[in-house]
Amino acid sequence: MDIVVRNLSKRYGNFQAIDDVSFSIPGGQLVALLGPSGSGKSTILRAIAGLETPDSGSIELVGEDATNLPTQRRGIGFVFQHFALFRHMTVRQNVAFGLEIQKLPKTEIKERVDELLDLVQLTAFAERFPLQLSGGQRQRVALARALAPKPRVLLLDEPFGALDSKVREELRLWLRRLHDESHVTSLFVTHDQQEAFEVCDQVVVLNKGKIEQAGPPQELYENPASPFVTEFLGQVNILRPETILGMDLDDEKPLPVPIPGSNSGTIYVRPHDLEICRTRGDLPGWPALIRRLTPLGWLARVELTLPDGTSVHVQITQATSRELGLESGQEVYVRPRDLKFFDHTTEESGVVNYVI
Amino acid sequence: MSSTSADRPVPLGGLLLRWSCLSYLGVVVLFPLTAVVIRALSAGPVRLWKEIVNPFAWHAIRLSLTTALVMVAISVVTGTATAWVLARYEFPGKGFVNALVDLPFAVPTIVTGLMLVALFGPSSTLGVVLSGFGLPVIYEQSGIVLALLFVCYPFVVRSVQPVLENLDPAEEEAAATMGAGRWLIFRKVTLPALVPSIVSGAGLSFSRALGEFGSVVIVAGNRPLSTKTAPLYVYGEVEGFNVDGAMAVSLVLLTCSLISLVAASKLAERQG
Amino acid sequence: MSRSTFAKHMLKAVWPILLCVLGLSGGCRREEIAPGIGEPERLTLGAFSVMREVLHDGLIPEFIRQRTETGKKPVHFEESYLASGALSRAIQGGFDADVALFSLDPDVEPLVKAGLVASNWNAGPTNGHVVRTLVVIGHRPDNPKRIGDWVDLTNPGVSVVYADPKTSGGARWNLMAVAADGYWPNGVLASATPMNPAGAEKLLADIQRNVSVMDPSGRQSLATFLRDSGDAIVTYENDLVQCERLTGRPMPYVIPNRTVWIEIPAVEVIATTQVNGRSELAREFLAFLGSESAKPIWARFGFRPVSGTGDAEGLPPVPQGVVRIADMGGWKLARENIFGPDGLWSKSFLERAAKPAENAPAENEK
Repeated sequence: MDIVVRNLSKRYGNFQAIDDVSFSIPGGQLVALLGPSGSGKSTILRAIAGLETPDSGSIELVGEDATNLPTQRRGIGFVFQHFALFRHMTVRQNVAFGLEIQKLPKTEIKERVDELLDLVQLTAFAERFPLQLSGGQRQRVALARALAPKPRVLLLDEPFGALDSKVREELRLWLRRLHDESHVTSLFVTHDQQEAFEVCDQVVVLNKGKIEQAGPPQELYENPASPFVTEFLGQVNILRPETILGMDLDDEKPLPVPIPGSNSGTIYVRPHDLEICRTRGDLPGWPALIRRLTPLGWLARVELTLPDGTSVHVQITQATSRELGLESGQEVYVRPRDLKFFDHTTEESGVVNYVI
Repeated sequence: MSSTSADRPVPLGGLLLRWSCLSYLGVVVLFPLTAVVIRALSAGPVRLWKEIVNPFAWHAIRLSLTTALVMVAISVVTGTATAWVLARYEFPGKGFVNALVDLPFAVPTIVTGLMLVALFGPSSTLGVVLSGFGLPVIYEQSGIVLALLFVCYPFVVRSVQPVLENLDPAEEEAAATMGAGRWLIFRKVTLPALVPSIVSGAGLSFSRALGEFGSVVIVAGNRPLSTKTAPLYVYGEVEGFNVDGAMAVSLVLLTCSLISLVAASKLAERQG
Repeated sequence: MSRSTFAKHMLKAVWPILLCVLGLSGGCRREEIAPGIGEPERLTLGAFSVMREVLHDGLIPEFIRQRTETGKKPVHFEESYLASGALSRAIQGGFDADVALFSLDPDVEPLVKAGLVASNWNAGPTNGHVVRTLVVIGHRPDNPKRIGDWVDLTNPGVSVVYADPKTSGGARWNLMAVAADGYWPNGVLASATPMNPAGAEKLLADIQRNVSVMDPSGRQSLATFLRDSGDAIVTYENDLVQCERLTGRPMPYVIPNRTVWIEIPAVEVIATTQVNGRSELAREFLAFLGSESAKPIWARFGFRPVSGTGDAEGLPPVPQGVVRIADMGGWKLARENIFGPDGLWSKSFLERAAKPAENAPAENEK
């Protein structure tokens, strides 16, 4: 385990930024800390870097207790959202900064800097100043600078947050490739679910200073452990338990899912887990009215109203939509393939995962 | 094209603003300065040179320049440190301290002089102690530096403080993560970012110090070839009806001031 | 230093200056006199600033009283007080003073040249002077540094204060008194012995070595001394007497054996009096200023009579060796010899500057 965080807590006045957080990250992995703003993800990252002092808890880096170690001696690389390049130094001087502090021989520094500039494809820009570079280039310099002293752990705080979406996407893939080559244990803070999924091996979802769930991205998506994770990872329809009863119009046709025992829960259905039929057929389903049909390239988004007034939206392929001949104003039947029910009465993981 | 002004009132307004600002600058600053220069040059280069190399004038000029430079050297350190404390730390009474910084601008300089004599003068406890150590301050060159330090105190603080306040801490944090200690961070990361503001504060202080009269006349002792600064020399020459001598030395002061201000702004520009 | 002592020192430093500024500064004022018999006569009086107190509070009321007693018409004075040089320039520029008092003769000369003052103004027995004062050495109460004469100002550890002769006319005459002592050894009859410039230069240099503060004006110099700076001040006797009156602080002084008379000329500005028909009144006032009845008033304000030994009631006796500027060749020559570009004063500085080892300024020991 390269990063071990145990029972970490931090308060700012009345605001609990981190609330008893524990997790560990095995060596060589790229892990995302994912959460909305104010969830404490950046604070955790900065605490690991020693830039914030936690109120309690311990931090271990590559087997060494780093809780009371100053930032300088933690052996980390840190990449900031706004690059934080030294503006009065050239790209080369920036990348060489950490190496010069280690007092390496000049030739060795030059070699290492050249190697890194090559890695981030900025050899031609070595003598430029940060202000003369684009945002994407600056962040690549920042990455090279952080990697130059061969840190034990690389920490990235919303590294692509200040870039526009196209550059961001390029850099994501590039970062993933870089990591696959360098294998430095990396912790990556982001609020962007897609970014976390695309880049990282593992995702830790945070909410209100606590860990909601941790695991491989797909695992979290498919088996969210809480309503928060379900809602935060991708789009979802939220339904009341009574709505299920609305499906049961015909006594002869049994429901495909058991009616939840409790009425004080919430049902989550992802838009792509709903199926639309023109006729009821053999399977139960809700009668619904198409309110609006929006083609989105190869997908189509269908907004429906159920008999009790609940509105749901469904994602189907444009091909299916055309096949069914859907139009707004039509009466159709809609049927969940998969839904999740979280029972509020039981405090923890009141999750019943139904797979049809 | 008959309705140009009605169609585009903004450029005209802008032009008017520029024109009136420049005229104002001309009337308030440039005219009097030009008058001094013309009056000085009218004496002819030989006369001017003689007046400047006159041992009394030359000593006064050198004294003014050295005391101003020593003051600037000290002010740059203390001013930056004060700005640092005000920008980086929270402490009770900070608002009061912050307001206090500008006070030297509000105090009539003659009162500054009297205050310093009362504090450090030969009849004060502190003055007696300092004299006992062989370090008399008042009526010595160190007294001049002390007066200049007080009078010019706000310049460096006020030019550095806002820059420091707006500085992104991430650069310093980045340096720390790479293993740089506090002092190294300050030297290599923070200080270079502050240099333009420090330089401009230093330039202002230097210029202001060269012309300082009110406080220096009280604390210096005004002994020729010893503690008589250039402005005091100029005053003496005016009173003694040697206007050429006064103008010659004024011209030197003005030139030094101009050079320091232009150099400071150039340096600040290059660094920024 | 604690807060309260600081405040105390501030107050101590500031109040004498305030007093001096308020009390000694010149200005114009009109004097309203109760209407007597008929239209009052008018007299416009210009005088240098130091004269304000003695004229306004002492001599003018006495003059008016004497005239009333003898049944003459009342006089309405218009008084104007300026620096001596400024007053001279003002009269040249058209200021219609009937009578003018200057701090020194050279300020009268341009008026004579311009025909505003009679060329024989200094022909009388008192050479046109109405009163005089001495250059003296003020010291601290009980005279801790045992200052008795000029040579004592050269002692190590004595801190001397005087105004800068460059900016202060008064300071130039102060230093002439020093020069006089250097010119002629003690006991020598000044009028019968040639001057010794080397002796004057040495004494000037030796005293200057002990000088701690040279303020731009005599007034500021006095203020500095009142702020407890310096062990001794070189200034006019009347300045110290007046300062003691105003501040209430004892201002002890010694009169050196060899010093100079500062003689104060008073003139009728004929250009004005002849036009206004006030010549008679002007002369009457000038005569009063030199009269016996004016003497005690002058003395109260530190001034001495022009006639006789110069001894005055309430003032210390005049020593033997006092010389007149005339003995030093007159104002012009004396000034040139000492303060001219090649004068003793400048020379003493430049020679000292060439030998910086002796340049060490006096320590202020308390």
